[in-house]
Amino acid sequence: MSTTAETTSTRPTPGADEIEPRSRTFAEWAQHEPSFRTVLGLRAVILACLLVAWQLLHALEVGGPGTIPSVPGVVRELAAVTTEAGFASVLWQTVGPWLLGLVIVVVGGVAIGVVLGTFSFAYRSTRATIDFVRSFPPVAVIPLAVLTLGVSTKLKVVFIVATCIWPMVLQTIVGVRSVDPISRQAARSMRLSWWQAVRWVVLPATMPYVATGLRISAVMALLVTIGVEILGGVAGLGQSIATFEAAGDVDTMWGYLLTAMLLGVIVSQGFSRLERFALRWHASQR
Amino acid sequence: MTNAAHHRKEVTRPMLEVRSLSMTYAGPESPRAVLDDLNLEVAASEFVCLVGPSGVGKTTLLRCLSGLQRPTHGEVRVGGGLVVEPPAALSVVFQDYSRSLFPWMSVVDNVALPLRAQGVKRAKRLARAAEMLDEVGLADVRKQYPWQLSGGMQQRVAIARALVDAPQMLLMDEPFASVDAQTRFDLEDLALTIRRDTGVSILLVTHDIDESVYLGDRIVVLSGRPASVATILDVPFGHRRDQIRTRADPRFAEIRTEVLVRIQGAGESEAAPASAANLDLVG
Ligand SMILES: Nc1ncnc2c1ncn2[C@@H]1O[C@H](COP(=O)(O)OP(=O)(O)OP(=O)(O)O)[C@@H](O)[C@H]1O
Ligand SMILES: [Mg+2]
Repeated sequence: MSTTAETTSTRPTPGADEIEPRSRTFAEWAQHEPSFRTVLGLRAVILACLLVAWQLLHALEVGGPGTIPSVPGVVRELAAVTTEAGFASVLWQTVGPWLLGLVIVVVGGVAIGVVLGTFSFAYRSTRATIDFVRSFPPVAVIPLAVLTLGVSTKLKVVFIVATCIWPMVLQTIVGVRSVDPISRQAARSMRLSWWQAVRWVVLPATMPYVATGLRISAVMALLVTIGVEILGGVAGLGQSIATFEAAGDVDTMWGYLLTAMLLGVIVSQGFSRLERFALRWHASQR
Repeated sequence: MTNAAHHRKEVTRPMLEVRSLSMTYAGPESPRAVLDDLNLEVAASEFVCLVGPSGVGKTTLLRCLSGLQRPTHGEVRVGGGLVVEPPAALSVVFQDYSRSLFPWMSVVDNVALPLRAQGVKRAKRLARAAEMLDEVGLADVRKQYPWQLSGGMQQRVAIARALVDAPQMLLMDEPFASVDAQTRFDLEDLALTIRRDTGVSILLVTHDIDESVYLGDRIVVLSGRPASVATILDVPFGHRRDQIRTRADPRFAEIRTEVLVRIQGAGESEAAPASAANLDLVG
């Protein structure tokens, strides 16, 4: 290595071999933690690419003239839609049922998951059934459900729970089954009752899995809410999207659509933060 | 042992009694006998060390004694009562403290947990837990989390938790195996102090023969496959010991050699029964 340095460098510095860091391997480069400024810069570049691509699609009139508005047009619409008088209530019509559905998903999913994860026979005997039930396409029965449940919040909540509870159940089962056996033995030797052990040992130990399930379910629930609003015609962001699309007001439609997407970003990032906060004791966060 | 002999030796009943205990695991192919016809007693306030080669079944034995596992044959009694589930009078300090302490609870909450399970009021149990932490020399880490502490400190927390509900019998599975030498000496002295102050009986598993001689009133050598008690040795140092003077005592080296010979001798006698005769000369 020193010979190479001597022959190639025009001004050999004494001890350059030791000072010069050896070149990083690809794996090291791929894994290194970038600085915050680098991250911001990269984000700006990606956003710029996205906007350019968007504008290009607009200029090429993909999907017919007027289908994709220009970037300035969309920004204008987003501003117009979100500052409208009724916007807050439309937003709440989506967020309220989403929140209610999610609470039921968490409580119900964790409860079912703990039972199925604790009792091996219960898990073994229900696994195929769960896979069967969760493969059910909810879109197929929306028209039917509208008849029985009506065009209502209830409709949204039922669909959220029916589709989004499964990631929660499955994550909880995996979490409960991977509780450290030493933790369980410690709990037993301290004479914790079954219910005490669930609350103080099994549930906290399962939290990393539940948090991941919650993050998945939360975003999924938002998509389901908007889907039900569109297909069932229930008031909310989804219905606004559908109404303006049907009326041919594509620009306003995009305003609502982008609002829904931004909501998705907020939900996803928010739950990631919550996950980090709730798990500050966990090895992955130290 | 006849009743009369029993009474001559000690008036009170032993704290821990193990009668012809056997443990066989159902293996994937053939069942695996680990412990065979094992008999053992620990008197009140006695400190007994259990030594034996790795994999001989020490942890298995402790699990049976603590009611975490049902032995295939035989019985275990703690304070005279038959053990069928973890007894209230007995606490366990696990081999792997970093896994037996709960990382989502603060140190003081970890220590107070056995009392919480019994329904002791919050203020009372936290006061008692703080008292136990003082006892093990950890007054100022109550609000911290176990993973913020060094290995030696975590083991002190585990000991404080084991003592918090005032047990009469303490089982410790290689409790000081993964700390540095100085910390190890300190923790050994802590164990002796606890026995002296609280009068708790201690059964401690160790790989370290020096440690067994320094701590034990008796040393139980486990060996064989399946394992049973090969030898029991008395250690004459009393309740007050000192890391430097006790270890410098000529009898210390003698007992250590004897334990070593017994462990190796037991291994040999299994392989070649003929050499067992030599051992009697040494013992
Ligand atoms: N749950 C189990 N199922 C089947 N076999 C087991 C089980 N636990 C332990 N064994 C077997 O029993 C034997 C004794 O194991 P044990 O852990 O009790 O040994 P040990 O003396 O504590 O060893 P070490 O000194 O390494 O801690 C080992 O051969 C092990 O493979
Ligand atoms: Mg062991």
